[in-house]
Amino acid sequence: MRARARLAGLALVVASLAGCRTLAQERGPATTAEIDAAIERVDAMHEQVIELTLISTLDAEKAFWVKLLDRLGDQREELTTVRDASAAGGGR
Amino acid sequence: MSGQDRIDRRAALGLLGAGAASVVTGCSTVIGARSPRMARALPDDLAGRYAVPEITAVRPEGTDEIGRAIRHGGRMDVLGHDLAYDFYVPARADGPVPFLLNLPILAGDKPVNRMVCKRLACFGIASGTIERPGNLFRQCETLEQLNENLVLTVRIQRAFVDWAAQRDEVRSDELGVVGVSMGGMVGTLLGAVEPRLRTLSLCLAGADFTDLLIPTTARRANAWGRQRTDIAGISMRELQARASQSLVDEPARLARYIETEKVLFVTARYDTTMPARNSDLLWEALGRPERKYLPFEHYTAILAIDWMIDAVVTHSRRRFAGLA
Repeated sequence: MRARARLAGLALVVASLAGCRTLAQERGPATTAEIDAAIERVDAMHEQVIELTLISTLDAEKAFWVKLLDRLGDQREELTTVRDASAAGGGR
Repeated sequence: MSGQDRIDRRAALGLLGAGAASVVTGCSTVIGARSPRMARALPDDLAGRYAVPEITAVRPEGTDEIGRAIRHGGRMDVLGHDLAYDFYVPARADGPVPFLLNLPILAGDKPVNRMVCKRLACFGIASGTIERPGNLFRQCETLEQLNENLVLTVRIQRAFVDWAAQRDEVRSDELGVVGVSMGGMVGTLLGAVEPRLRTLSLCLAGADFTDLLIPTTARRANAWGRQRTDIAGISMRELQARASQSLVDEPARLARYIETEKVLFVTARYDTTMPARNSDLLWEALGRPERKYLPFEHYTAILAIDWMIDAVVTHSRRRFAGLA
């Protein structure tokens, strides 16, 4: 019974990975324009979160928004790194 | 000397060494801008609101040589205010030099300004300060008056930059700002609306005036908050809520109009006057510019003033050289 469950789990993992691979192959690597659009979305969200930080009066709420700004900043840096690498590698 | 004394002495020396090392390494901690962004275009309504006012009269009051700097003092009339100014130039300069506007800390007085300007002159940089109109947080201003006063302060600083840029001693295309604490917050507003400023060094600054009304250890701001709550018969929390509606000219909001790479951001690690949350908020709003840390508190950061000015000069020169 246990061995069957393990086998089923393994099959599920393999199937998931195969599915992800297929999806990635279908979509292909992101283009520079796509990454730029994603950066723009992060920037727009960033501005909204700044506004939310400024209008919130609860301490915990402000702390939450500032933390979110930090995460968005990280996200922007990651996207910029990917874009620069893509551009350097002659990306689309 | 007993064994215990030797151990105590070693422990003391060890602690001293660790302290010195933390100051040295702390001062050199740098995070460069990894994902700088361009400035958003300034909307017309903001540009109109912060228009450069005319200086209607300038009355020079004397010149004196202080170390390697020559100070020109005087008064000028701007928007009906009679304000004192100081303009410093290096004593030995072969032609025009860059100019950095010095925006001091809220409690900053003449000796601190003089120290900063003198040091900048040693590096061959002209600098100057102009008095703020009124006394921020000292006249029990309403929230609306406080906001208007901030806008007025920024407009007057623009007029002073304009005046300095026209002086023969100054290179009109090499202008910048160095602002400390409240001066850094005013510097952010100024940097957003004054496109001629090529470099902004914002030290111990932060954002969110509303949030700063309660947790700050700055006595003037705290006293102002208490007065306003007493007069209006409201809680500090209620004052905060009202402030978030009234204090619209907020550094975090205007930071988006500043190009990230113009900025050098200096933070004191143990700052309780400008808490980390407010400092981080402005840094994020500016698009994560180059950031340096000082291993001090807000007021003890004065101990690192020379290091801070060195960093400001290096950043400003790099910006000016890149634009040459």
